[in-house]
Amino acid sequence: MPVSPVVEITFALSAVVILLSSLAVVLVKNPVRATLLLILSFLPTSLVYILLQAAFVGILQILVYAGAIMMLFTFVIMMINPSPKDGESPVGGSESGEGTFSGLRGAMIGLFFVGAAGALLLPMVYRAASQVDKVPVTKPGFGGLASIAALLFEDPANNPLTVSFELISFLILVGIIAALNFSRRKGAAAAREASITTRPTEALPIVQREAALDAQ
Amino acid sequence: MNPWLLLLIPLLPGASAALLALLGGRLPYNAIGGLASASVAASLAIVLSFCGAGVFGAGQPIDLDAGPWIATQAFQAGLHLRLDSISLCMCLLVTFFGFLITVYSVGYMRHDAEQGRFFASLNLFVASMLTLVLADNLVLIFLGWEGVGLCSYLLIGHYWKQEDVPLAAFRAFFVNRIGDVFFLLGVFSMFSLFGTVSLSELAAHGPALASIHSGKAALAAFFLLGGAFAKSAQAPLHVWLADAMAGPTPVSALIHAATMVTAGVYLLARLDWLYAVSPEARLIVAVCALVTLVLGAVLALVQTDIKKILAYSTLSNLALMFLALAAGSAGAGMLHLFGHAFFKALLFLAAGSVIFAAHHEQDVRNLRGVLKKLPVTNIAFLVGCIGGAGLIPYLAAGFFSKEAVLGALEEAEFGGFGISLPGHLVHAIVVGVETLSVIYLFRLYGYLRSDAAGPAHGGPAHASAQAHAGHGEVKEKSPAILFVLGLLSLAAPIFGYLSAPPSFGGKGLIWSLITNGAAEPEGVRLMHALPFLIVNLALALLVFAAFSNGKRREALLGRLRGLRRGTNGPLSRKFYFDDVYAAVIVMPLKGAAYLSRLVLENIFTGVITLTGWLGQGLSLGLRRLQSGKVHQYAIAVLLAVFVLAFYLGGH
Amino acid sequence: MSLSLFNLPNCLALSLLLVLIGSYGVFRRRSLILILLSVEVMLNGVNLSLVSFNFFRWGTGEASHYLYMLSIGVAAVEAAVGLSMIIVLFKNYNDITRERVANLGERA
Repeated sequence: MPVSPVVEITFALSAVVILLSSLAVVLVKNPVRATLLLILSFLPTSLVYILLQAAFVGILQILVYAGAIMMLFTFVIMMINPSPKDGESPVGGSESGEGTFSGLRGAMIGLFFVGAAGALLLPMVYRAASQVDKVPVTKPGFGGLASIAALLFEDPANNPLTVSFELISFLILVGIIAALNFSRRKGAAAAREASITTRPTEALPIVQREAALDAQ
Repeated sequence: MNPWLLLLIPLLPGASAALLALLGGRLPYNAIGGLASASVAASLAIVLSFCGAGVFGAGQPIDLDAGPWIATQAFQAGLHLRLDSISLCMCLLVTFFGFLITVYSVGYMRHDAEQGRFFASLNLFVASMLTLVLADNLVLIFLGWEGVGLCSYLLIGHYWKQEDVPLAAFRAFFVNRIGDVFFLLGVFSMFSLFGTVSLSELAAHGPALASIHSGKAALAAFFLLGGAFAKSAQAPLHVWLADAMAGPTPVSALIHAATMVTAGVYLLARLDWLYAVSPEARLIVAVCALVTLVLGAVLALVQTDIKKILAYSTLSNLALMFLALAAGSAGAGMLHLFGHAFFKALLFLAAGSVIFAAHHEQDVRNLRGVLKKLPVTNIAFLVGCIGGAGLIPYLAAGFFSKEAVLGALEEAEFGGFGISLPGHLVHAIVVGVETLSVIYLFRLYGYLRSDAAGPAHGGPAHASAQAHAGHGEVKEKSPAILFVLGLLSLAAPIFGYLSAPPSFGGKGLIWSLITNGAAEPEGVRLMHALPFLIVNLALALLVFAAFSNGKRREALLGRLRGLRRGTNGPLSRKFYFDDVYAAVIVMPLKGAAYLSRLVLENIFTGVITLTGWLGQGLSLGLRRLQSGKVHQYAIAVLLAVFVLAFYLGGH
Repeated sequence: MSLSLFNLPNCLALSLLLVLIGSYGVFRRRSLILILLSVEVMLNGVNLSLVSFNFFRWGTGEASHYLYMLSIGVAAVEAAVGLSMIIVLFKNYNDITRERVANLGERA
């Protein structure tokens, strides 16, 4: 079935934008910019989903991914107060520290691995995917809201997806509890104990600080 | 007679050696000497008791199978001892001289520091030599062979704290080692040719086989020659004997005159059937023995150390024995072995007495006239010189034995490798050399009996000896020494008397004893021998007169000095044998040692270092994988996923 | 033009490239937040492959769309938990670089 040229061009343009913005996400130093660029990459992704006749999925992409998850990232980055400086930034994008994968050597290694993987896998993908034919979409309302709803909620007793659906909600609950637990302020004693496990060189100020706290 | 007594003969001195080695440091001196002498005396007693057992002459040998030693499928060498006439005579020789010299050593070593070690080695030597003599197979002989070599090393090196001594001992051992390699090769080829190493079996079946495979037999004979030459100091393996004089004099008397150096002669005598079928081997023996004969005599003429003179004389006499063997007469060779043992041991022991009395001075130029103060030693020396020079037929221990050798040489023919060496030529050379022996022996005696006039000639001045020579502090003090000297002075002429051949009225008794019953050949007639006797006697008197008088001596030496060509001439450099050895053997060995050190230090160490470095590098590298850094683990997981994708995608 | 761009191989290639780009980010980034961000890029790629498979190879059902929903659900939870951990770490160490916080092996 010949695809209309509009679709083709849209797809091509979207693909380009996705790739470029994802590339930028992994390369820019400023985390705020990285986050925004990621959001930028979600928009054409959504467009591609719509082209793939997955309308609901496309909407979800914007709503959940770009709307919620990226918001979370943005909040956290704001809280952690990143500074655009290089070197000693705690959340810096500077990659010139020590370690096996840092600096120019790290870049080389990374490029090598990624390049090798790409060079090896891309041809395989093309070879494999070209051998199969497109199966036409025959279901009416494919990818639409009603269709997805029917998929999920129809006949819950015999629906194989119901269990996982419920489990997902449970998983979200667990995540909420975990996050809450992380952010809970512990008691004074537990906090002291947690802070004493830092480096020995920091022990003296901590001890002094705790002594001052006790004196209060 | 219980054959098991045979086992005791070598065992008793051996056990005494072990005891002395363990306890020698703690026992009092007389106990050490007493134990050592007693054990050898006990062996001597056992040997004597076997004398009446009908073994002598063509009698019945006594065999003892003391048990298995090497017993494999293909090769057996048991502890087989065999007492036949030859080995009984050798046992007598070894135990008799061993006992006498051990007693002598009790006197000689009285002031020594390490007596336990000395007597232990001495006893061990006697035990090893007895094993060698009594053994019935080549491997057991080799055991004794090695044992005497070891004891020779230990005993030569007794004064190891002195400067040149350890080197001399090592030299003796090393040259012997070369011989041992040849000996072993000989044993192997004997086994491969005859299928057995047992001497009795070889003697029984060997001759037939040997004449068929004469080439292989000649090869085996040649190899065994190498061993015999090293042990008996024949050219070119003679270089160790002169230096072996660094050991105590009793050692020189026992080992390097009477017993160990005769082991080679004994071996060849035992295997004379093998040499009978290999004319090439006999030719080699003849040539080397001839060289050694001349070498020894000439060098003995110019030595200034008593013991060195006697050592070179031993070389000559051993060569005589080998010449007799090469001529095919094992009887003559063995006869001279015994005769030489008597007079040479006597000479060495007398020299030892001189050395002991003069507080270890050995240079004859500093010992002038010393015999005048040592009466018993004087007589012993004279008897020994007469015996060594073969001056008086019935009284000289060596006269008839040398005549026997000469007689054998006259009829002999040495041929092989296309060369033919007529016996007459050899005979003539020997006669000439024997004249030299008269000269050097009486030169020595002259020095020792000379008046004290005339200055010393640049000999290393031993201060105390010079003082003593003039002041009469030289005295015979040790009863042990004197006793042995007296005994031997009597025994030597007795042997001389007994060794007379039929032509001189003898009964051929000793000959039959030492040849398992063979009949003695006629021997030279008195008429033939008389001219030589007269010449020798005159020469002896002349030389004695010349050297015993200071003025005459100086005149003679002055005229002779020109002949010597300084300290680098052939005489002083012992005919350059040492230099040849240095070039041929020592240099390559040093080179090989250097090379192997290079290899070891660089390549091997390099390999080891490389291994260590590799291991370290690997471990360091691997350690970084376990860095404990989470992000690295994550990256590893990611990489693994890619690999998996690739792998799965391939299907 | 007859050249078709909108087909399964191209979509899959796009998703593979996204995964690779994201993994490069995981290798290289020092800051934990940026590592998480790179993981999101990878997830994006995976989701794309899910949906494109469904469109091109299965025309009668949309279960893969549901799979997509599971995927973003998990991504959301993971982001939430991860980010809260990052906050705690920042409060303790004042430093979010991966070397600082990733020492399982030695005491820093």
